[in-house]
Amino acid sequence: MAEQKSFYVGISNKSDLRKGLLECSKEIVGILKDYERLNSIREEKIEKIVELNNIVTEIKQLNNALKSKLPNDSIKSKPLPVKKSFAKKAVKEKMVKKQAPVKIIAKKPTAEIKKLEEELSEIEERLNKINV
Amino acid sequence: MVNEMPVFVKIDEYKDVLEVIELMRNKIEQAKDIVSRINELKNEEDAEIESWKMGLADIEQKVEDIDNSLMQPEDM
Repeated sequence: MAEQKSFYVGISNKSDLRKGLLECSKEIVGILKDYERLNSIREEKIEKIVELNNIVTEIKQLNNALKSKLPNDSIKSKPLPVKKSFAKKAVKEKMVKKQAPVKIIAKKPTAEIKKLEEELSEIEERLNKINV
Repeated sequence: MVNEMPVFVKIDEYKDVLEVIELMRNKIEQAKDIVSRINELKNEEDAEIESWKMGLADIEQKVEDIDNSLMQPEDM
């Protein structure tokens, strides 16, 4: 049975190597610390988003309550004179507003999006009726 | 002619309506505060990720240095 011989390689700048390894460990621990901090930030962010969602739902309910307290009859009033430049700006803003939420709600479930789109088109229809 | 006449709307629950509007105003203020906090958190999150990126670049450099010193063994 032949004895296995061990070979060793000498390291020229051993103190630099040790220093490098320790610094590496330090950085890794720092990254793990950052990870914990990031996690807590994300948790708070999710909490705030849920809170915001609840508030928006409450605002929606209050809006419905307001609608129910106001008269239902559709009254045709004379449209207010709108300056051409203002009208153009309003149309532009409307277009921007229409485009912007698409990205935000892109990840929501399809049924919810469909429901919101129906609601939106209903409101727009009613707005158009008022503007006629 | 009729169209030019002013329209008066009778609101039976005028006080309630004002209360609801006040509540809505408060809720909107709350929502604005939360949106602002979410924005702050988003910025903090971005800063943390940036710090990660820099930390990883440092580690990469150090590993490179260690590898280089290991690849240059001491002369016998």
